[in-house]
Amino acid sequence: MEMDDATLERYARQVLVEEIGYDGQCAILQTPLRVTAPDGVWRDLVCRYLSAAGFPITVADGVDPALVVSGEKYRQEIPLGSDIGRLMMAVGQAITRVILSTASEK
Amino acid sequence: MYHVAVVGAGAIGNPVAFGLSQHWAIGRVTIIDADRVVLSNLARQPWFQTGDIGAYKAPLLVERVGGHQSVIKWQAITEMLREDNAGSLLADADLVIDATDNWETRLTIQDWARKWQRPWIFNSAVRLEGMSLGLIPGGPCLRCWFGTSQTEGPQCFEAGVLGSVTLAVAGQALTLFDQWVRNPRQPSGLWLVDGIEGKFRVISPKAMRCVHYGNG
Repeated sequence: MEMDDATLERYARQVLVEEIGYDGQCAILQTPLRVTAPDGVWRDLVCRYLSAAGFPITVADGVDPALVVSGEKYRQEIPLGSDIGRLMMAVGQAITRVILSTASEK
Repeated sequence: MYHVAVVGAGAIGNPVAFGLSQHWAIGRVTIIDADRVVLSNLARQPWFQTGDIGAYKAPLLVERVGGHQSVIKWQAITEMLREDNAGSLLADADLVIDATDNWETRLTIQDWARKWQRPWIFNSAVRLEGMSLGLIPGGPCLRCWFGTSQTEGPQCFEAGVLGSVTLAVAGQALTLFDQWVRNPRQPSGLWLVDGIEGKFRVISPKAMRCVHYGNG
């Protein structure tokens, strides 16, 4: 795929990161992910960040107290229940791992 | 209940506002930013959308994160924090969270914080790395930590950055806020996000007292 000018501008700061680049961003835009978690602010947070990074996402209700991000080649689980700051740290690092692993498959 | 001022409504300010909205100890939040939303913000400032382009960030963030809340009082200020307005814009804040992207504003926050004996939390992120640092009155200042030759270093528009890294940095800021609530006299370490290794590190302060600010 090719990104048009507006798409490239939208993801410009990610594309500039050496480990991602143009091809990595194209891979992100074409990698569907599923977020499975109980409805609430934390599921909303994960969906916001994955969507903003460019992933097409679908959402499912989970029963376990965990946030699960899964794709064809990927599964990442983040237990809920830490305090707010620690959970934000864990969610941030987990999404970075999803982004880097997707971009490295380009 | 604490009043926290957040300077910057961008990539760090977005998730910091979210974290504060969920925190039991917060009674009031003031968000200060004169910037407007542009297209290249959206990948890492996910409370903003395409239809927001051109609008001021601070009131949008307040509306999106705090709009439904009645417990916390939210306020947006669409001015840039400067030396000549810091006293009035930050006047009632118990603690300031730095969510800016430049040293000039950070030094303005620090000068205000030392003058009025208030704590603040420094944050930065670039590429896949980020850092956070809690600074208390009398404890080490930015110069104690980083020396006198503070330079801008590479900025996000040059080297890029991920929204997930700024989210992790905001999480560190919230954790440092928790530490301050529990023990307001304890200087924090320097908390580092390493997105490549997927790790966090904490560097302990090399001194417990500041030698640069006369009044501590």
